[in-house]
Amino acid sequence: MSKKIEFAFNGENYTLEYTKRTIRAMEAKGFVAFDVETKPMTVLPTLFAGAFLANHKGLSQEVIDEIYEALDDKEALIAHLGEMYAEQLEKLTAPGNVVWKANW
Amino acid sequence: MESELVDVPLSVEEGTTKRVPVRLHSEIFEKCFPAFLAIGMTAEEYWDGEAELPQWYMQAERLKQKRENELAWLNGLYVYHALCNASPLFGFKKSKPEKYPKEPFDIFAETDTEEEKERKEKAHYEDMKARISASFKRFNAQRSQNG
Repeated sequence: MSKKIEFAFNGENYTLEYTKRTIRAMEAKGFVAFDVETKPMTVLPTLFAGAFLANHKGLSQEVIDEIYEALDDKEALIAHLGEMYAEQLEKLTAPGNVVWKANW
Repeated sequence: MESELVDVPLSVEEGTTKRVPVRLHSEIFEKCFPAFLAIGMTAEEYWDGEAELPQWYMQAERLKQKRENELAWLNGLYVYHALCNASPLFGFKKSKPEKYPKEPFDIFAETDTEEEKERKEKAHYEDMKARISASFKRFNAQRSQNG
Protein backbone atom coordinates (compact mmCIF):
# COMPACT_ATOMS: atom_id res chain seq x y z
CA MET A 1 0.00 0.00 0.00
CA SER A 2 1.25 3.52 -0.79
CA LYS A 3 2.44 5.62 2.14
CA LYS A 4 -0.23 7.96 3.48
CA ILE A 5 -0.72 10.46 6.30
CA GLU A 6 -4.13 10.54 7.97
CA PHE A 7 -5.54 12.97 10.51
CA ALA A 8 -8.71 14.73 11.56
CA PHE A 9 -9.13 18.50 11.53
CA ASN A 10 -12.25 20.45 12.42
CA GLY A 11 -14.39 17.35 12.26
CA GLU A 12 -13.13 16.29 8.82
CA ASN A 13 -10.90 13.32 8.06
CA TYR A 14 -7.99 13.92 5.75
CA THR A 15 -5.73 11.52 3.87
CA LEU A 16 -2.57 12.91 2.36
CA GLU A 17 -0.83 11.01 -0.39
CA TYR A 18 0.76 11.43 -3.80
CA THR A 19 -0.09 9.63 -7.00
CA LYS A 20 1.79 9.78 -10.28
CA ARG A 21 -1.00 11.99 -11.59
CA THR A 22 -0.78 14.50 -8.75
CA ILE A 23 3.02 14.56 -8.94
CA ARG A 24 2.75 15.27 -12.66
CA ALA A 25 0.28 18.07 -11.95
CA MET A 26 2.60 19.57 -9.32
CA GLU A 27 5.63 19.42 -11.61
CA ALA A 28 3.63 20.87 -14.51
CA LYS A 29 3.15 23.94 -12.33
CA GLY A 30 6.88 24.22 -11.74
CA PHE A 31 7.43 22.12 -8.62
CA VAL A 32 10.87 20.47 -8.44
CA ALA A 33 11.53 18.32 -5.36
CA PHE A 34 15.30 18.71 -5.62
CA ASP A 35 14.94 22.45 -5.07
CA VAL A 36 14.08 21.84 -1.41
CA GLU A 37 17.59 22.81 -0.30
CA THR A 38 17.90 25.97 -2.38
CA LYS A 39 14.28 27.18 -2.31
CA PRO A 40 12.66 25.64 0.77
CA MET A 41 10.13 28.41 1.30
CA THR A 42 8.76 27.73 -2.19
CA VAL A 43 9.06 23.96 -2.21
CA LEU A 44 7.63 23.00 1.16
CA PRO A 45 4.26 24.74 0.98
CA THR A 46 3.76 23.31 -2.51
CA LEU A 47 4.83 19.86 -1.34
CA PHE A 48 2.31 20.02 1.49
CA ALA A 49 -0.52 21.38 -0.64
CA GLY A 50 0.21 18.81 -3.33
CA ALA A 51 -0.46 16.00 -0.88
CA PHE A 52 -4.12 17.06 -0.77
CA LEU A 53 -4.66 16.79 -4.52
CA ALA A 54 -5.32 13.06 -4.65
CA ASN A 55 -8.17 12.97 -2.11
CA HIS A 56 -9.12 16.60 -1.38
CA LYS A 57 -8.75 18.35 -4.68
CA GLY A 58 -11.20 21.20 -4.11
CA LEU A 59 -9.83 22.21 -0.72
CA SER A 60 -8.99 25.90 -0.47
CA GLN A 61 -5.46 27.11 0.13
CA GLU A 62 -6.74 28.93 3.20
CA VAL A 63 -7.83 25.68 4.82
CA ILE A 64 -4.61 23.95 3.80
CA ASP A 65 -2.61 26.73 5.45
CA GLU A 66 -4.75 26.44 8.59
CA ILE A 67 -4.12 22.71 8.70
CA TYR A 68 -0.39 23.19 8.25
CA GLU A 69 -0.26 25.62 11.14
CA ALA A 70 -2.23 23.25 13.35
CA LEU A 71 -0.19 20.09 12.67
CA ASP A 72 2.44 19.14 15.23
CA ASP A 73 5.99 17.88 14.60
CA LYS A 74 6.40 19.67 11.29
CA GLU A 75 9.97 18.43 10.81
CA ALA A 76 8.82 14.82 10.85
CA LEU A 77 5.87 15.76 8.66
CA ILE A 78 8.12 17.27 6.00
CA ALA A 79 10.45 14.28 6.11
CA HIS A 80 7.51 11.91 5.67
CA LEU A 81 6.10 13.95 2.81
CA GLY A 82 9.49 13.72 1.10
CA GLU A 83 9.45 9.93 1.44
CA MET A 84 5.91 9.74 0.16
CA TYR A 85 6.81 11.86 -2.83
CA ALA A 86 9.83 9.69 -3.64
CA GLU A 87 7.92 6.45 -3.21
CA GLN A 88 6.07 6.62 -6.54
CA LEU A 89 9.30 6.84 -8.52
CA GLU A 90 11.18 4.45 -6.27
CA LYS A 91 8.59 1.68 -6.62
CA LEU A 92 8.32 2.21 -10.37
CA THR A 93 11.99 2.10 -11.23
CA ALA A 94 13.27 -0.53 -8.84
CA PRO A 95 10.71 -3.36 -8.88
CA GLY A 96 12.76 -5.89 -6.99
CA ASN A 97 12.20 -8.61 -4.47
CA VAL A 98 13.39 -6.66 -1.45
CA VAL A 99 10.53 -6.55 0.99
CA TRP A 100 10.42 -3.65 3.43
CA LYS A 101 8.00 -2.16 5.86
CA ALA A 102 7.46 1.46 6.67
CA ASN A 103 7.63 1.86 10.44
CA TRP A 104 5.60 5.04 10.73
CA MET B 1 20.64 22.04 -11.74
CA GLU B 2 20.70 18.90 -9.62
CA SER B 3 19.42 15.65 -11.02
CA GLU B 4 19.96 12.01 -10.25
CA LEU B 5 20.37 8.89 -12.31
CA VAL B 6 17.38 6.59 -12.32
CA ASP B 7 16.97 3.12 -13.79
CA VAL B 8 14.28 3.25 -16.45
CA PRO B 9 12.78 -0.05 -17.62
CA LEU B 10 13.67 -0.31 -21.32
CA SER B 11 11.71 -3.41 -21.96
CA VAL B 12 9.43 -5.29 -19.65
CA GLU B 13 10.08 -8.52 -21.56
CA GLU B 14 13.86 -8.29 -21.44
CA GLY B 15 13.98 -6.89 -17.94
CA THR B 16 16.69 -4.50 -19.05
CA THR B 17 17.07 -0.97 -17.83
CA LYS B 18 19.16 2.03 -18.63
CA ARG B 19 20.22 4.79 -16.33
CA VAL B 20 19.05 8.25 -17.31
CA PRO B 21 19.44 11.58 -15.55
CA VAL B 22 16.14 12.89 -14.27
CA ARG B 23 15.10 16.11 -12.70
CA LEU B 24 11.35 15.67 -12.80
CA HIS B 25 9.68 12.46 -11.65
CA SER B 26 6.93 12.99 -14.21
CA GLU B 27 9.48 12.58 -17.03
CA ILE B 28 10.12 9.02 -15.89
CA PHE B 29 6.44 8.33 -15.31
CA GLU B 30 5.74 9.34 -18.91
CA LYS B 31 8.66 7.27 -20.26
CA CYS B 32 7.49 4.13 -18.45
CA PHE B 33 3.77 4.57 -19.15
CA PRO B 34 3.68 2.76 -22.53
CA ALA B 35 5.55 -0.27 -21.16
CA PHE B 36 2.95 -0.75 -18.45
CA LEU B 37 0.04 -0.18 -20.82
CA ALA B 38 1.55 -2.91 -22.99
CA ILE B 39 1.32 -5.43 -20.17
CA GLY B 40 -2.31 -4.66 -19.44
CA MET B 41 -2.23 -1.95 -16.81
CA THR B 42 -4.95 0.64 -17.33
CA ALA B 43 -4.15 4.33 -17.48
CA GLU B 44 -6.15 4.92 -14.31
CA GLU B 45 -4.32 2.20 -12.42
CA TYR B 46 -0.99 3.63 -13.51
CA TRP B 47 -1.62 7.30 -12.82
CA ASP B 48 -3.95 7.01 -9.81
CA GLY B 49 -3.17 3.59 -8.33
CA GLU B 50 -1.03 2.40 -5.49
CA ALA B 51 2.72 2.88 -5.83
CA GLU B 52 3.35 -0.88 -5.71
CA LEU B 53 0.89 -1.74 -8.48
CA PRO B 54 3.42 -1.50 -11.37
CA GLN B 55 5.67 -4.00 -9.57
CA TRP B 56 2.82 -6.51 -9.28
CA TYR B 57 2.03 -6.06 -12.96
CA MET B 58 5.70 -6.66 -13.82
CA GLN B 59 5.80 -9.82 -11.72
CA ALA B 60 2.53 -11.04 -13.25
CA GLU B 61 3.96 -10.41 -16.71
CA ARG B 62 7.04 -12.47 -15.90
CA LEU B 63 4.84 -15.32 -14.68
CA LYS B 64 2.85 -15.11 -17.91
CA GLN B 65 6.03 -15.19 -20.01
CA LYS B 66 7.31 -18.17 -18.01
CA ARG B 67 4.05 -20.03 -18.68
CA GLU B 68 4.19 -19.19 -22.37
CA ASN B 69 7.80 -20.40 -22.51
CA GLU B 70 6.79 -23.69 -20.91
CA LEU B 71 3.91 -24.13 -23.36
CA ALA B 72 6.26 -23.42 -26.26
CA TRP B 73 8.64 -26.08 -24.95
CA LEU B 74 5.82 -28.60 -24.63
CA ASN B 75 4.56 -27.79 -28.12
CA GLY B 76 8.08 -28.20 -29.47
CA LEU B 77 8.36 -31.56 -27.73
CA TYR B 78 5.21 -32.81 -29.46
CA VAL B 79 6.53 -31.66 -32.81
CA TYR B 80 9.90 -33.28 -32.13
CA HIS B 81 8.28 -36.59 -31.29
CA ALA B 82 6.01 -36.37 -34.30
CA LEU B 83 8.98 -35.75 -36.59
CA CYS B 84 10.96 -38.59 -35.02
CA ASN B 85 8.03 -40.95 -35.42
CA ALA B 86 7.35 -39.91 -39.00
CA SER B 87 10.99 -39.79 -40.10
CA PRO B 88 10.99 -43.29 -41.71
CA LEU B 89 8.41 -41.99 -44.18
CA PHE B 90 10.85 -39.43 -45.46
CA GLY B 91 13.67 -41.84 -46.05
CA PHE B 92 16.13 -39.89 -43.95
CA LYS B 93 19.55 -41.41 -43.53
CA LYS B 94 19.69 -43.43 -40.36
CA SER B 95 21.38 -41.28 -37.77
CA LYS B 96 20.82 -40.46 -34.15
CA PRO B 97 18.55 -37.43 -33.70
CA GLU B 98 19.65 -34.53 -31.54
CA LYS B 99 18.16 -34.72 -28.09
CA TYR B 100 15.30 -32.40 -27.31
CA PRO B 101 15.96 -29.99 -24.38
CA LYS B 102 14.91 -31.63 -21.12
CA GLU B 103 13.29 -28.43 -19.92
CA PRO B 104 12.33 -24.97 -21.22
CA PHE B 105 15.15 -22.45 -21.70
CA ASP B 106 15.56 -20.04 -18.81
CA ILE B 107 14.46 -16.83 -20.50
CA PHE B 108 15.09 -14.85 -17.34
CA ALA B 109 18.63 -16.10 -16.76
CA GLU B 110 20.72 -13.48 -15.01
CA THR B 111 24.43 -13.39 -14.34
CA ASP B 112 24.04 -12.07 -10.79
CA THR B 113 23.50 -14.54 -8.00
CA GLU B 114 20.38 -14.15 -5.86
CA GLU B 115 22.51 -12.65 -3.11
CA GLU B 116 24.10 -10.07 -5.39
CA LYS B 117 20.72 -9.14 -6.86
CA GLU B 118 19.22 -8.63 -3.41
CA ARG B 119 22.27 -6.68 -2.27
CA LYS B 120 22.05 -4.33 -5.29
CA GLU B 121 18.32 -3.76 -4.89
CA LYS B 122 18.63 -3.09 -1.18
CA ALA B 123 21.54 -0.71 -1.79
CA HIS B 124 19.51 1.17 -4.40
CA TYR B 125 16.55 1.56 -2.03
CA GLU B 126 18.75 2.68 0.87
CA ASP B 127 20.50 5.19 -1.38
CA MET B 128 17.23 6.74 -2.56
CA LYS B 129 15.89 6.93 0.99
CA ALA B 130 19.11 8.44 2.33
CA ARG B 131 19.18 11.15 -0.35
CA ILE B 132 15.67 12.28 0.39
CA SER B 133 16.22 12.19 4.17
CA ALA B 134 19.50 14.08 3.85
CA SER B 135 17.90 16.83 1.79
CA PHE B 136 15.17 17.41 4.32
CA LYS B 137 17.53 17.13 7.29
CA ARG B 138 19.79 19.78 5.78
CA PHE B 139 16.78 21.99 5.29
CA ASN B 140 15.68 21.49 8.92
CA ALA B 141 19.22 22.22 10.15
CA GLN B 142 19.33 25.43 8.14
CA ARG B 143 15.97 26.42 9.52
CA SER B 144 17.13 25.78 13.10
CA GLN B 145 20.26 27.88 12.56
CA ASN B 146 18.28 30.76 11.15
CA GLY B 147 15.91 30.55 14.14
